[in-house]
Amino acid sequence: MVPLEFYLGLGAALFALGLFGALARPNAVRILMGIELMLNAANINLLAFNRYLHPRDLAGQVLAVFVITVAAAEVAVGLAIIFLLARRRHGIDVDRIRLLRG
Amino acid sequence: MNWEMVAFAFLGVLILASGFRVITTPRIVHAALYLALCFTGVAGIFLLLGADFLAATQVLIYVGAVTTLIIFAIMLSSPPEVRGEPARGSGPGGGEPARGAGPARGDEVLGGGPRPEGVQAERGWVGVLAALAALGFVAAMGVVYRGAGLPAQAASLGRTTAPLGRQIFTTYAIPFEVASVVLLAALVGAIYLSVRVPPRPSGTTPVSGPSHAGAGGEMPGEREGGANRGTP
Repeated sequence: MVPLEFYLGLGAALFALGLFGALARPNAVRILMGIELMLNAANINLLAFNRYLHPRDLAGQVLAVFVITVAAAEVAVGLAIIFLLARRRHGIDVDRIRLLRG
Repeated sequence: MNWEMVAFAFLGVLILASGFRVITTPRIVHAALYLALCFTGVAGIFLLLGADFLAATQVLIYVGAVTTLIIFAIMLSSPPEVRGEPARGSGPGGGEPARGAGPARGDEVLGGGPRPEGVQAERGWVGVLAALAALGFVAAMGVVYRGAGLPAQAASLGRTTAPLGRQIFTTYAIPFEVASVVLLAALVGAIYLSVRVPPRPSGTTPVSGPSHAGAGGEMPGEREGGANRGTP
């Protein structure tokens, strides 16, 4: 039996990887990849807490379903925006995107 | 050391290694494929946690749909890198950028020319700050989990698909409907954003698409401005 701390540690490590990837990379597609890694880490934590703390009701799993839904919506809109930027601005480097700069 | 621990160790190493490659590999298509590998490992972790339905959902949505969508976006937005041309600024070596040649090498293809000097210096600090944020997160979580008094034994969940569906459509019916509306709105927005507007000749009526809102918004303003100019 794997103790709960191992799952939580795995989730924290994966979240940290995604956080670093989302903050340190200038490419917008890579930022989205980092966000996806963070959402997966959150799902691991949700399922681990559900299994170990409240195994009777499946609230954590239902919440994970909603997280997956929102992640799909987020990646669809995010990639559409990236596609639009690549077509209009000839680049998806977030350091050079200054459409909203006043 | 039982089979579950062995499986957890294998999947954990797989997830962390592929996740590390996602953010360090210089080629962005490789990053997308490593991301698919990482998602598959997470699906295995879901199986270990007794969530069979969510493991299948993870494979279907993340490995199937999200990775495909990301690869589509890469193909549509960054053709030079996809064609294997050398990254701008990656030195004269060409083809394969050198290993450990700076974290941002493979990403510099996508803009015109090098970044301004201030931005380049800023990027270095952003990397350091991002690493500090990630390590600080892990440390904070370690402190929280150490003091939490977590149970070591897990209860068996059994099959989860039927109770999960029952809960979604009874207890969580309203959040489920809200999530479906969010998904619908996001898909409509994505289609609206990425629709290709044909270049229309001047003098014709504006066609539908993203340029329609701009053209429709400007027309009354012009007319109003003309009227204001006429009144004094």
